[in-house]
Amino acid sequence: MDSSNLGCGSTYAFLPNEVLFDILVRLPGKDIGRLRTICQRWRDLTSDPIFIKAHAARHRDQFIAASFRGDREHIHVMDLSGRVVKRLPIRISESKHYLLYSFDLVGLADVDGGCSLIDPVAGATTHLPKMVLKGSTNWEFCYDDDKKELERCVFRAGRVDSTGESKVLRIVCRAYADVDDFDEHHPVSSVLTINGGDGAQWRETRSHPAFLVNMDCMDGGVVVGSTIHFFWSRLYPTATQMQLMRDGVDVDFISSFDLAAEEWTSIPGPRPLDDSKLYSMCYDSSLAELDGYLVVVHHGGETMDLWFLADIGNRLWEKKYSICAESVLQNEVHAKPLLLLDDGRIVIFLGVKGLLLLYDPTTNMVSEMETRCLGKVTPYVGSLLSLQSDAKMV
Amino acid sequence: MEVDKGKGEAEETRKVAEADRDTVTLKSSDGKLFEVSKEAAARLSTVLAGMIAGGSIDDNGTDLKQIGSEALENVVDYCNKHANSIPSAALISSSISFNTAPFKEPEEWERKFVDRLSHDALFDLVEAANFLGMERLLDVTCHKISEMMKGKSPDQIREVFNIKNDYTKEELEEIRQELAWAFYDD
Repeated sequence: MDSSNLGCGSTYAFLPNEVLFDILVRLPGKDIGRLRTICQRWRDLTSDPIFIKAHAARHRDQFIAASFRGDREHIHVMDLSGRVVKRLPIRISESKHYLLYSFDLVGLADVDGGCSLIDPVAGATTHLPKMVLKGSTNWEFCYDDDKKELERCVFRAGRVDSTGESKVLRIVCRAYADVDDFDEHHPVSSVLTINGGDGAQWRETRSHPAFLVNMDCMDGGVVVGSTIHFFWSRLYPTATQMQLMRDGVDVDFISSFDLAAEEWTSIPGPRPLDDSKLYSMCYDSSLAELDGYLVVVHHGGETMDLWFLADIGNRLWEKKYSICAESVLQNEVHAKPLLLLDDGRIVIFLGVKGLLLLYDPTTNMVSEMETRCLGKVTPYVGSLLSLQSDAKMV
Repeated sequence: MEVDKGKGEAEETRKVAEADRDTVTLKSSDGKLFEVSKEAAARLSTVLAGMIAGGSIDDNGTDLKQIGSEALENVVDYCNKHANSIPSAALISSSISFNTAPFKEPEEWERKFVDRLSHDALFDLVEAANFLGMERLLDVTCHKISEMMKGKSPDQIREVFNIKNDYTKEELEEIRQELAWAFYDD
């Protein structure tokens, strides 16, 4: 670097690169962005992939990726004050259902059973092989009797931690299999490994869900590590099962697919201390992932209880939060905790209103995050710098 | 004979004493001498540890031409203070830059140690720590400098760090647009 550029002979600007690296890598991603306007040397240093990698390893910032309602052309990544820090282009036609698996992976489903994956960062689309469905792929639950004979399917994508492979799980079942015809219309699952090419094929899995699972687009299928968990469908439990549970028998109502072993297992959910809540636990609950744990979200009227699967081997559930905010949570059957923040607060998504709440367990208060009305949401945890280096703002 | 013998014995005694000395003498670029605990110097500085092990320590003052007396005084002060505080296991196995180890928070006395320094002294100290391979001191000083940068505008940082903006107006405008995500609340 030419010393004439450095002003009046200050020693500061001569700090060796490795020292400047050590200083700058400690700063938050947003500060680094601003510092790139200081001078070319600082910009080059902080734009270097080695710097970005070192920064990503040390900064785990928390963001929310979301689509705004009415905008099917962008995915936005927001910080916790609701400010958009990245906007990615995407185009989702009105006829398709879509899900955000993560900010860089969007699943699209056609009405006729096709599914494709979009990576908005790379701008790439992968079409998965189609299957012929009787009827339509409707990811939303609707209670239309006419559709009884139709089939529906759900897609979920996840990553195998040990190998880094991405896989998609597909479950197909009759639109309204009820318990009487469950044996005849058992859900059938298949899995596909995304290999980046076109040759990927669906493989029917060795085992299948032991019961009818919730295939709703909001609540169906929660990924924790390399496992996708499903709560049972509210159409499924019978009076006999409820009686068994009241008698103290543990009935399985969570069905889980291990993406690495490609096998299904099932486990019982939490048991409320008060047996009168048993019914609502089985019917008014959904699943979520928080802090790497599988969580049963029990919408119990006045409160929303969060049960963490503290010990998966011993099937030990622990009620960690009881969120008392009836006025806010009213009519929000889809209220879903999204992210446990480093400061202990929890971000909750209200799917009906399309807004985010911040819940502070120390005060038991909720506040609303200022955002536009949200469609689909998913958390993103990582470095703002690596997020920005993936693609320019558009 | 007797005198010579006596002198020889004295020489011998002096040599033994030097080999056993528990301090080393360091000489700054401007010729000032500083004594520092040998144990602390070897533990805190990879460069001094190498010199001590390799026998290249000069009893009349090991020349450190790259380090001025003020910075060296701070280095020695830090080593001596460190020798008196309980060394934590984390300090020994840690490593710097280009790795993914989490930063170790400075301890209270280390915070106070760098807080009292002027900007000039702090920057000289960070360079000295880098030169001497003093990982922990480098951690503490880099932490302090990064704290100084937080929340400052680019202009303020240029002023504090005395850096000249070497972008053209057009380049800066272009970069600002690219970096809109970092400036959204300005």
